[in-house]
Amino acid sequence: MTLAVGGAIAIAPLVTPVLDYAGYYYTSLKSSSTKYLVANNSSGLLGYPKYRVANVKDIQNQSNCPVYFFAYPLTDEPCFLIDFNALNGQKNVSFQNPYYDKFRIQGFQQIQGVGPNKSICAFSAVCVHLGCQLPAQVLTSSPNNPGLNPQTTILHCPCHGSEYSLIEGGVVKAGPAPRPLPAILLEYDETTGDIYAVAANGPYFSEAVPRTTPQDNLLYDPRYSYSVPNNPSCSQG
Amino acid sequence: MKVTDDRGKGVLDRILKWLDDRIGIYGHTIRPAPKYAYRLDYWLGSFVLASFILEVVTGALLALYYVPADPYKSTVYLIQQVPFGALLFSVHSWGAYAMVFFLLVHMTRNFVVGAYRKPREIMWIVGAALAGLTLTEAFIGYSLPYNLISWTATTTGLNLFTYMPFGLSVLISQFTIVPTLPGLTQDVALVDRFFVFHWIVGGLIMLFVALHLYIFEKHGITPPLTKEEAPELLDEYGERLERDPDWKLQPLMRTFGIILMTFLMAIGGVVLLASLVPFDIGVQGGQLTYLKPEYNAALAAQTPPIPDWYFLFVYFFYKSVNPVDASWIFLGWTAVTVLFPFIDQYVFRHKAPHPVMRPAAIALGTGFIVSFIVNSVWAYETPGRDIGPIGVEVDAVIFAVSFLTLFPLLKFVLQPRALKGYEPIVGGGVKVRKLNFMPGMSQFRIMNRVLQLSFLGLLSAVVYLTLQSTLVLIFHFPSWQLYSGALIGTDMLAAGTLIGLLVFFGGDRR
Repeated sequence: MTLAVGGAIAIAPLVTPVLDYAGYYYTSLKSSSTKYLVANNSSGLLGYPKYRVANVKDIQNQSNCPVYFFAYPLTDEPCFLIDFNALNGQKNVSFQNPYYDKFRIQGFQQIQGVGPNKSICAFSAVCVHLGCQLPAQVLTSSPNNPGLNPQTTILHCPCHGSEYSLIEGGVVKAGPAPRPLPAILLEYDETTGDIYAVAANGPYFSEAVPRTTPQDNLLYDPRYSYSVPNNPSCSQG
Repeated sequence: MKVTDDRGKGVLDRILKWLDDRIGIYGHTIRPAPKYAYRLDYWLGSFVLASFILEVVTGALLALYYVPADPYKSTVYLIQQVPFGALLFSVHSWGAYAMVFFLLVHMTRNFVVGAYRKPREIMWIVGAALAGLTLTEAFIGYSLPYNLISWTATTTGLNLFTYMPFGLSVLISQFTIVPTLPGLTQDVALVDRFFVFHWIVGGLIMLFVALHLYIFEKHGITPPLTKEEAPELLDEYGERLERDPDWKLQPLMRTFGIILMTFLMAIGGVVLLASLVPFDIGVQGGQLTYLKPEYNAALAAQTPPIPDWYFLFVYFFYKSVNPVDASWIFLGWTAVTVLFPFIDQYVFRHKAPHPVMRPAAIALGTGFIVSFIVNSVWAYETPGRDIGPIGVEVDAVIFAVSFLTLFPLLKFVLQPRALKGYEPIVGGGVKVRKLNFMPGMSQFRIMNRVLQLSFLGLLSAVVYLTLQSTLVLIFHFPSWQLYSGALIGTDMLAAGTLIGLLVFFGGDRR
C-alpha cells in the first residue's frame, strides 16, 4: 500500500506532462483563462472555440502577402493563415493530417484548404521545438534562411533551424523539431467569406510545460512572450 | 601541528600569529604553502575568486540603478547618464566572461594534474557545483538588460528544460512561472524574478566558495605530481617539509602577496579590457550609446538568438538532435563532470596523479575539451541553422579518436618510458632537485640589476598611474570614464606585476 502510494507520488511529475500533452486540461481552459477568445463555448471541439479569425477578403486584399496572422485559441497564441494560391499558385490544397488519430481530436484524416480556391490553411506560429516564434511573414529566397520560402513552402525557424514543409501539413523536413507543426482546422462560410478556426490538430509548443493545476493552464509556456504581428506584415528575407 | 614555527618574519605574519594564539586559525583557516607551490598554476582559483569579488562589487553598484520593471530603459539610463555607469556595465559584463574563463582554466588544470583524486573528491564536486552556479548566474544575468538577443536567447534556453527528465522541468517551471498579477505583464514580472535569482544564485556561489576554501585549507595545496601511489596531503610529508628546501613552508606574507598579485592582475586585466573594448557600448563624439536594441516579439522572430560563448556547446546539442536526446546528452555531460573523481577511482582505477599514470582520464578529458571547442565554434558559425545528427556523430568520433590514440600512447609508450629510471619517493625522504642552470657571479649581478631596474620602473609607473587616475576620478567628465578605467586597469596590472616580482624574486633565495 505504502509502496503503491509512494510510487504514485514519485511518478506523478512524469505523468502530468503527458496528460497536458494529451490536452487533458483543454476543457477547463475557458473557465480558467482570461485570455480565452470565447467565453461560453458550447459548440467547440473538446474545448476549442469556434472563432471567426478573418474574412477571405482580408487575406486577398493584402498585396503580395500570402500570410495573415491571428490569435487562437488564446489571445497570446499567434497563428497564421496561409494562402497557397497567393504563395505559389497552388489550388485545391489537401494534405494528410500528421496528427491523425492522436491526442483527443479525432477524425480529420485529410485536411483540406478553404476559401474560393480551396487554398487557405492555417498553422501555429510557434515552433514546437523550443517555443520560438516563427517568422512566417518573412518571404525568403532559400529554405536555408529563417522565414518562409514560397517555392518549397518550407518554414525555417530562426532559433535552431527546424524546417517545416507547410504544403505537406507541417511535417519536419530538417532540424531538431520533435513533431510536426500543429495545423489549425478551419471552416469556411461561402456566403459571407468568413473563415472560422475550430480546433488545432495537435498541441502547440506545450508538450512538457509542467502544469500542476488547471489554473496554470495556458497552452504556451507562459514564460515566453508572444505577440500577434500586425497584418499585413510581409517582408523579404 | 607545528606548521608555523619561526615563520613570523613579516608584519602580517606577526599579526596572524597573534590571532592564532587567541582564536587558533592556523591549520584550518589559513595555512602556509610550500615553496614549490609558488608558480602561477597553483593559484588559478584565486583568479576566479578575484573576478567573483569584482562581480559582487560592480553588481551591487549596478543594482542601485537597475529597475526590473523597466529593464531596458534603466540599462540605457545607466550607460548614458549615471557617472561611471558605462564603465561599471562594461566591467560587470567582461568580468562575468572572465570568471567563466578563469573557472574553465582552473578546472582544466586541476583535471590535468589529478587534483580531484582522493581525498579531494568532495572538493571537486563542490567546485563543479560552483561551475554550475556560475553558469546559471551568467545565464540569468544575460537576460537582465532585456535586449533583443539576450531576452530571446534566455527564454528559449529556459524552454529547453521542458524536455528534461526526472521532473527537472517541473522544478524549473516552479521557479520561473510567474503568477499573473493585475496590471503587470508576464514578461516584466519574469525579469523581476530573474533579478532576484541573480542575487540568490550569487549568494549561493558565495556559500559554496566558502565551503570550497574551507576544504582547501583543510587539505592544503596538492603535493607535486608523482608517478606512483603517494600520500595526497601535505601533512603526511612531515619530515620532508622540514628538510627539502623545495618544500619549505613559506611565510604567510608571501601567500598573501601572491593572492594580492592575482587579484590585481585579474581585476586590472578585466578593467583594462572593459575600458578598451566597451561591452555593447558605442562611443561617438563623447556620447555613449547602448548598441543592442530593445526586445520586441516581432523583431525577435526574425533574429537568431545566440547564447553567450560558454553556452554554445549546449546550443549545439539542441541544434543537432531532438530535444529529448539533447537533454540526455547535456545531463550525461554534467553527470560525468560531477562524478568524475569516482569514475577515476572505481572505473578507471588510476593509482597516481601524474598524467601518464591516468591514461583513461586524460583521454576522456581531451575528448571533453576538444569537443567543447569544436561544438562551440560550429554552433557559432551556424546561427539559426540546424546542424543535424552529424554534429553528435562528430563528437562521438572525437571521443573515440581521443581514446584510441591517447590511451595506448600513454599506457604503453609514455608510461613505461616514464617509469624507467624513475626514483620513487620514499615516504618523507629528501630528494633535492638539481639546478640545471647555475649562474656565475657576473650573470647573477646582471640579473639582480635587471630586477632592480624593473622594480623601480614598475614602482614609478604605479605611482604615476595612481596619481593620474585619482585626478581623473576627481575631475570627472562623463566621457572620461573609459579613459580612467583604462588608467586604473593599467595601474592595477603594473601593481600586480610589481608584487609578482616581490613574490617570485624577493626575499631570501636560499
